[in-house]
Amino acid sequence: MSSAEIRGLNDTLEIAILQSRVLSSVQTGDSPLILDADQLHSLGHELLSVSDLFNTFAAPLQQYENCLSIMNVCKNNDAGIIETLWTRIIARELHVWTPDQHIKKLLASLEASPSIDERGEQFIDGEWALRLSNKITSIGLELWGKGADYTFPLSFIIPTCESKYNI
Amino acid sequence: MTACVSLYGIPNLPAIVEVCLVCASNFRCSNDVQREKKLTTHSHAMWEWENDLYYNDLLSRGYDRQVPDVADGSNSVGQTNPLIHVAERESIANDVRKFCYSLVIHFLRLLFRGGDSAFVNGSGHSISTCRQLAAEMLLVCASSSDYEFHSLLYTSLVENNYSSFLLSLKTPYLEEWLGSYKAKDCGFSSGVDLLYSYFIFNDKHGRACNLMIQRARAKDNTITLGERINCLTKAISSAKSSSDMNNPHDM
Repeated sequence: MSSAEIRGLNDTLEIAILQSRVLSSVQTGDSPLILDADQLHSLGHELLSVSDLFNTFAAPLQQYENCLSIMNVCKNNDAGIIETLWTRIIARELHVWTPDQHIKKLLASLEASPSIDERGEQFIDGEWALRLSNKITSIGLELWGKGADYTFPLSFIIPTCESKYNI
Repeated sequence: MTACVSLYGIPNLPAIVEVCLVCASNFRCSNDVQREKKLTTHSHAMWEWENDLYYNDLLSRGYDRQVPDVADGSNSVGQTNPLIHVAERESIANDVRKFCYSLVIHFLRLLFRGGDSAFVNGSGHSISTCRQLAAEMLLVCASSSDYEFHSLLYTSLVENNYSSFLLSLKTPYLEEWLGSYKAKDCGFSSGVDLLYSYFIFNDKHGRACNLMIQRARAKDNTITLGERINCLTKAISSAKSSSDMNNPHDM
């Protein structure tokens, strides 16, 4: 078997592992979307194509980290999609409440905190900062150095985060 | 049976296999004989002095009896019904053959279990000696050209958790048997796993890789994603081993 064929098998395995992660999140109830029986069976029993996994499952299920990993494995350098995914990941960690209209507006631009009220986590407490930092680090460890570093676009992530820290 | 017990006590295990398989070979159907002509390694064929001793003699005289044909109402006493005749012959032959095979397997299992105290251990053989004797007995078994015997032997080894002995056997039948074992006996997965282990054991990494790729991509909706991932992992491992060994005949 040639090295190219072995690489192909490795890619298939990596995608299958990502598929199992998506499946786990569905099974643990972390998913916002309910799959029908056929979809669930496909997800749990078939080796899905990359596009099916991304478009039918990972993206609708809001599995943004898995979406990035899929793009990393496939070496897909679509900056628009990658930045959108990162925006969603950052927004999710900024699931906080603030009375400040300026901050509210900024968070709304990230589609963050749509349903948090004043009893929720407060923006001013800053706990989100550590959480966001840990999240970016863990994703970076997974994506960086695998020949698709563009899925971890520091030139986009750093300014986006700094704008929040500097509020 | 008595002869086998005596041979076990000596112990002369290869002789047990020889005696039982020669006896069984005298009770075989024409289909079996034809099949084995294609894959003969060492035939336990009838010895000259055995001609007409068991099966032929028994059936040609004892079962060549006259059967009345009631269906057409005619008084047909004195005619023979060849269908009944053949069915009875084959049924008896099957029973005897299976008894012969089961004797070999029985003594083999005794040895694998460390030997029966009345015979082997009573004769001063340790457990490790019993295992060694079992391995020698298996070698003689492997040289048989009787597929039916091989099939029963393999099934017994798998069911009694002696798969490692099975996979080490060098016979022309084992690969085919492992390939078909998946469908009917203990489920597809176990059969495939055994065949994969067989390929790995015999350094056929390319074939092991192909087997796992086929399994991972099989259109079988009972195979879970976890199993497919496991197959892909094994396929990659085998593919790397195959590339390292660079064996052009192993695909």
